[in-house]
Amino acid sequence: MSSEQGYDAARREVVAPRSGTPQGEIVTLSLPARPEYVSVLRLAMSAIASRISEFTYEDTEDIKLAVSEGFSLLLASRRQPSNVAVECALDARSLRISLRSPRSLLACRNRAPLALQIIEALMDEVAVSDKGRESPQTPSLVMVKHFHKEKT
Amino acid sequence: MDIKVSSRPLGEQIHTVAVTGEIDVYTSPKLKEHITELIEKGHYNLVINLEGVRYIDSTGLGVLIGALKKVRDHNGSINLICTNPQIKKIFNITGLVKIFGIFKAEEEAVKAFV
Repeated sequence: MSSEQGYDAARREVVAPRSGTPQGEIVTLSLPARPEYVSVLRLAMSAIASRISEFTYEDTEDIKLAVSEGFSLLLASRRQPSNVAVECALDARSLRISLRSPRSLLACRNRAPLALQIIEALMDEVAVSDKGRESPQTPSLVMVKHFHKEKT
Repeated sequence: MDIKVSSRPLGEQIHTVAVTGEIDVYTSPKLKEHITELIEKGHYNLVINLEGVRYIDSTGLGVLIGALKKVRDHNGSINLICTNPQIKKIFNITGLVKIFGIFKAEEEAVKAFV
C-alpha cells in the first residue's frame, strides 16, 4: 500500500474548540485498525506533538511510541474489520490522547502487559477502560502527557 | 515505512543481522521470519545490529525475546548493537537490558561470545 493511500484513509478533522478549555484544540483521526496504519498514526502524532513548543524531542518520541503501542493493542481481526478513533485534546498543561475501538484491549493477552508497561512508563497518566465483550461500552485507552515546566 | 534485514557470517560460529528502518506491528513479521530462518539453519549465536533502527515497539521486542528463547535452547545467545538513546530507553523501561547484551560496536558484541 502506498503512503498516499494511507493518508487518504486517515480522516483528519479539526473541530471547534471546546468552551472552557484554554487552548481547546482537538484533532480527531479515524484509522482502519490494521498494522499498516500504525506508521500513519506515528507520523500524525509526530506532527501534532512537534507543534507544541512545550514538548521536547524526547517527549514527542515518547508520545509516538505510546500511541503506537495503544493502536497495536486495538488492531482488528481480519474477519471483523474496524476503525480506531483517536482524539488528541490540547489544554493549557497537557496533551490528552484517547483511543477507542470495538475490539477488546484484552484480546492480545500475550502482548498487552509489555505494551501497557511501555505506555505507562512513557506517559504521565494512563487509564484503560475495558469491561470485556459483554459490556456495551467501547473499550478505550486514554493517556496524558504533561508539558515540561521549563520551555525549550 | 519498511525495514531492511540482512545477515552475514562472522566466522564459523556467529552470524550478524543488520536491521534498518522501523520495527513495529506491521514490519516485525519480516524480522521474525529472517531470524527464525537463521536459527532453523543452526545459527545460534547472533549479533543483531540495531544501529539503523529508528523505532522499535513491543512487537519488535517480542521478536527479539522469542529468538533469544530459541537460541538459548541450543546454548546460543543474542547480542545487540545499539547506541540510539531512544531505542536503549525502551530496553531500559522493559528491563530487557538485563537479558540482552547491548554493545556499542560489532567488535565488542562478538568478543562477548568468547
